[in-house]
Amino acid sequence: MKRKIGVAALLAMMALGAFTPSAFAQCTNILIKFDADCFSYESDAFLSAVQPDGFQAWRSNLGSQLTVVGLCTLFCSPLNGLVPDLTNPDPSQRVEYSFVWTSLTASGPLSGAPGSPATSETPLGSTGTRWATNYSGGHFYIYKNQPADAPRDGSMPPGPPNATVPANFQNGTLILEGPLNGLITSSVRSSTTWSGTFTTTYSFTGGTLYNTVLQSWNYGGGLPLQGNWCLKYPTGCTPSGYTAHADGQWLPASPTGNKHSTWGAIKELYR
Amino acid sequence: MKRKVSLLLFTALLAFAVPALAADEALLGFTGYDFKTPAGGTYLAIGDSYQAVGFVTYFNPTWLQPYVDPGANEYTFYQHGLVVNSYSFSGNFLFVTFANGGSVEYYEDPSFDATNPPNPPNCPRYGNNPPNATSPSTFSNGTLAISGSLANATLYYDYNSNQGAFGADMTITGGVDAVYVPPGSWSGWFMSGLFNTPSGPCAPAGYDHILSGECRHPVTATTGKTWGALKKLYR
Repeated sequence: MKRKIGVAALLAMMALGAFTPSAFAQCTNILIKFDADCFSYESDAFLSAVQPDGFQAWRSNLGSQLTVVGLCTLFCSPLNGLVPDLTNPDPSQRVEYSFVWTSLTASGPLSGAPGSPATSETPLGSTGTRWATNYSGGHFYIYKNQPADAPRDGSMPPGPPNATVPANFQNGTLILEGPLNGLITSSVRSSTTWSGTFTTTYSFTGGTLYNTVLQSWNYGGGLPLQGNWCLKYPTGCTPSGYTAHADGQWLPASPTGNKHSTWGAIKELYR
Repeated sequence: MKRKVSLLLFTALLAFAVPALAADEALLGFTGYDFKTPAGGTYLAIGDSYQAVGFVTYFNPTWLQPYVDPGANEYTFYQHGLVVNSYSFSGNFLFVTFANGGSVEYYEDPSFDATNPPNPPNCPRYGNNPPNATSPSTFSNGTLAISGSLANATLYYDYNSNQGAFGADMTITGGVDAVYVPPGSWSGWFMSGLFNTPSGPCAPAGYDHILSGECRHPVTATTGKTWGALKKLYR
């Protein structure tokens, strides 16, 4: 009987392996990854002066409300059972994992009256420029939705908020949510090259999969959520009405360390 | 006849209206680790070489997704050949530029030798202290899917906020999947973020940062107009 159970367990494990999402290939200290389909917009943003390369950067005024919407592309352990399917030939079978970050308020690093610039702008080298913005507050929500209906990169409807943004990113089942510890963005233009990043920390406080991350994983609080942040205008990153494009990842905590031992060795500890 | 002309005009207008919907396109997204050679010493001093290896996590849904099979292959990348040619460090802010001449290659490989399956629980074969026996070699084997040349590359790192980024112009130069990308989109933008020092059970030693990024192609915005509106511009 034991042997049968063993064989059954082995077969089950093999079957599980056969259906293991190919996304596992890229799971290297990532919890959730998002790529091209992530954009932000603000309630009170303005454009920098035209740069020598002809482009401009989006800047924020103090008090401006930042909203970020996006689609997850990859989940890793303990969430590796979640597999987005945005390309199924049958549209009704497409599954999306969308997210929204809200309640982020532009608060610096510049100070002043509400409505005055929050984003700092400093020269970099002889021709470059550097922009930085701090946002306070923040909360994230991740939803599972089928059939997928959120607009994607290349077809983001202009002028959010609109009929589908953020609405189609916050429908379906709320699987995870939690607070963000503000958000810091930093962007640089040097000659013709633009680059930038965002960083914050997060923790989980709810959602249908809260127990999965809570029980499977010593995630603690204040884990990194980081990635690229591109505020280049008019082309390069920002569709009409959006102020930045982001791609990045929720990073995991290190699992609690464990060590193989023998009963004898453990007994020794108590002698 | 008039009806036919109208129909043709309508069809033409529809055809020209399509680009109006076009927007920036991301070609590939990726995640991995970066390192410099020689190891040690000042980080990215003049003459240092900057490299990165990792896995592709996103494919352009139109140009690449139909032609890739992540179930049968691993998709990896190797970025190399960028040499620091200017260095500044002020106020805990590092800024370096690289000489043109770097390149990045994306590979399709059925051997999964970089993935090191089953993953998890096995860690990918980054190995420690690159270059080593498995990195970049297992990230740069298989079929060359897309290759690109890098120019105007820069990197900054703000040690005050512990974040930074890498950016470079990328032009597609070849690879078996390059034919699926419209020639007008072969020139574009490659960028990647730099994050914390690698940590966790799979974090390899000797790499500088865990990174994620993408290769993004800006598309010039166009607007759909009628012939009448166009004629008005010249009146």
